[in-house]
Amino acid sequence: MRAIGLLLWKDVVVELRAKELVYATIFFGAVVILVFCFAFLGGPKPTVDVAAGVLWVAITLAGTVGISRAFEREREGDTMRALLLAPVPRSALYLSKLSAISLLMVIVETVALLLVSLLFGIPIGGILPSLVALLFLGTIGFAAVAALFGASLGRARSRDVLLPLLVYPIVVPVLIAGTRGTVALLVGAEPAVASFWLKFLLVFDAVFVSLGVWVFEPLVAGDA
Amino acid sequence: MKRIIRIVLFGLFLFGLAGAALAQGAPKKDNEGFEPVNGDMMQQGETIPASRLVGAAYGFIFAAVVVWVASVARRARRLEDEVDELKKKLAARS
Amino acid sequence: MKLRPYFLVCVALAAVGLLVAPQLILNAPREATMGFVYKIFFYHVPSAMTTFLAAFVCAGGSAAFLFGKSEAGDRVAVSAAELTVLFGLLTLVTGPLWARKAWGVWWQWDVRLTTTVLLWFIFIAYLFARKYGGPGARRLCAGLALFGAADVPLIYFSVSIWRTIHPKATVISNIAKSRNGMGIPLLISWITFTALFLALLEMRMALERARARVDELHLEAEDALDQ
Repeated sequence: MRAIGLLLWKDVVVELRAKELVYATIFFGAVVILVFCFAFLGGPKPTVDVAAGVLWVAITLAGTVGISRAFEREREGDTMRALLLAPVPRSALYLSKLSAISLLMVIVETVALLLVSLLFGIPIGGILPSLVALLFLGTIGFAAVAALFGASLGRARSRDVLLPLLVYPIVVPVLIAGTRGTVALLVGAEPAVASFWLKFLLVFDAVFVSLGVWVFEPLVAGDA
Repeated sequence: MKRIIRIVLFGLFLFGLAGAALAQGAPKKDNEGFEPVNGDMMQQGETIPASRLVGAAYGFIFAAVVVWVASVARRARRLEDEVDELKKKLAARS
Repeated sequence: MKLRPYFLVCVALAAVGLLVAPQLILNAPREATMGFVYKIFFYHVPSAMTTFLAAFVCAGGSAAFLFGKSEAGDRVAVSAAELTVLFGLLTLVTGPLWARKAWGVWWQWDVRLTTTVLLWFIFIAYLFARKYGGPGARRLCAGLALFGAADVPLIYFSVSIWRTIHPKATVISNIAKSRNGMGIPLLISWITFTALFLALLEMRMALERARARVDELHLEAEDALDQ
């Protein structure tokens, strides 16, 4: 546990000094939402489905960009090799990466949520706690998969295009659960619907975080 | 290896064709003297007969498998060329 | 390139199947609502089942490679991945051809088709990463296969709940329920496809074994030439 905290702190400090990643990812997320606005707004008022979809897609895209960049930075500093040589349990390494990515995405999501609510004219005050829970669980699921593949892409030649190619098909259930849950919350459907999707995301997270911890060591073992 | 693959391909092709051909036969007459309806399901506004879809499905399966086996054969041939080159290099050296 | 003995058995089985199945299929009783086009069902369903079989074989091989450091496991994995893509393609082409008559549209977000599409994409990504993944690609792909296989039930479940709001496609369940005389052709088709899968798997694995041998020969030749 302590190792995870330390490694996470390392990532946070590095980022706080440069701030490059956070600003770039937030801005990218905002730009994506804007592009979607131009695509969907202007005609008849888009449905709640569209707003939910735009939110989750923007988060996914921005998340991928941020994660790629984060691992690129690590590769430049050869940090991964140093970390693998350090006497840290591999699972701590994976979980700290997962936490770092989740933290980044949570920041991006805050901005994205506010933007979508503003631009699509959707009030989110009453449902904020549930929405936050949904976003948080979805983020963990996404980060669990992305952390694993981001770390193991190593020196692959087409790694920029490979990361989304590998991650997106696997996180489709997160997208489905996220958008359906968001829609259920926004239209004021029965609480059972949204809570079902929350439970689904919990299961997804449990499965893939465990799988990630289990698979991480043999996957990156040869990279040191 | 090449020979085996060629035999397999040819065999599959023959058997598949034979199967499809034998299956055509004549439509059976049931005991009331009626012949089974074509069943192409040409309803109003329908443009594609069902038999064409079925044929296309079967044909596609066939074609895809044959193409894949051919691709494995091509890769095997490239491997054999590599081995021949290696042998030549070693022979030239010794 | 040496092929193991069970290869011939599988090819023989597949060949017999290909000979027998079309006859059985064409003579099978007509399904009440579908007419002739449902004959596609007899190769669409076995293709789909074989796709999932191949995916799980790949996951098994990947686990053996990642955790057991088994080279044979890796060979099984890459061969099965290619076959997942192949049989997935067969499923995804025969499905719409049937759907055109069954539902009047080429594509619908039916649970099984959607799950198959996603599985297909995961294994295309596998082959892509295998080719362009650089050093460590084999391990990366093994991880992907494991994640993909674990994801299948989650994808299926989430899509099926997602789709309950829309009209459900009941054709498959109708056909599955009405058994009269359809069981045998389906069984024969399924055996044929499985035999075909095993034969193709062995063929592809023989290629991998030959590749591994050639790599060894390269190293030996380099050593010999250096002396």
